[in-house]
Amino acid sequence: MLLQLTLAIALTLFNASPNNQLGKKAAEFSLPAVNGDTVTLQSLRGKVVLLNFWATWCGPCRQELPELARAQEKYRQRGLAVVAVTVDNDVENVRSFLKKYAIKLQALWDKKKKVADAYVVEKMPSSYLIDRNGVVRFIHRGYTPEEFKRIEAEIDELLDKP
Amino acid sequence: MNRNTRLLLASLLLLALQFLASGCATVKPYERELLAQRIMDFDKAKAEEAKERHWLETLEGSSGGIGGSGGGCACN
Repeated sequence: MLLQLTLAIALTLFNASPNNQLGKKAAEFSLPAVNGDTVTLQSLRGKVVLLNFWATWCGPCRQELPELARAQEKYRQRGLAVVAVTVDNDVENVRSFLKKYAIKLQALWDKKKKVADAYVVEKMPSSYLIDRNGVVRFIHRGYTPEEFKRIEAEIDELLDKP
Repeated sequence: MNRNTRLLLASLLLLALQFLASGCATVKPYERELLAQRIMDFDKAKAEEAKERHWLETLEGSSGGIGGSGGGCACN
């Protein structure tokens, strides 16, 4: 009993990762796109960035992707860039998945999961809303249609700011 | 219990703790690709197993009697 309690406390302490990214500069990254180009966060400065971490093996991520593609289309003209970072081990799975479901998104491949590490992704999927100045303004973990409505409202709010 | 025994027990407990702690690993949410595979699910073949159970129970349930009406075809 005591042993279990000690282990539980130790695990909780080691796992605790207070997410203090809100209001801070988003971690820079440079990742290969699934189609071969390389994309950096720096190159998107001046746009509102919706950075989403997903994987083909994650059910809620698969549900969210069409919503992301829709949001990209809806807000593209106003300056939204949706960046879908996949943490799949095999990029071929990602290519065939995007092709099969005709999902048109800027998909980047975080092969070594270093960007996911840097953003302290605690749940799949996770979305980070970064303002035009490169500051993390909102973080969302998991996916529900209601949650996505909130994300859209926040996108709207950020796009209105200079 | 004398002092030496208590010390020995405490050392053994510490050793056991060390062994147990080495078995604890945290898998981050974005590293669960292999764990998400169907083969990792204990209940991956619920429907198939139910069918097989039904088939087996039908056969076994009808065996043993003399003059019974056949071995059971498991087709119901």
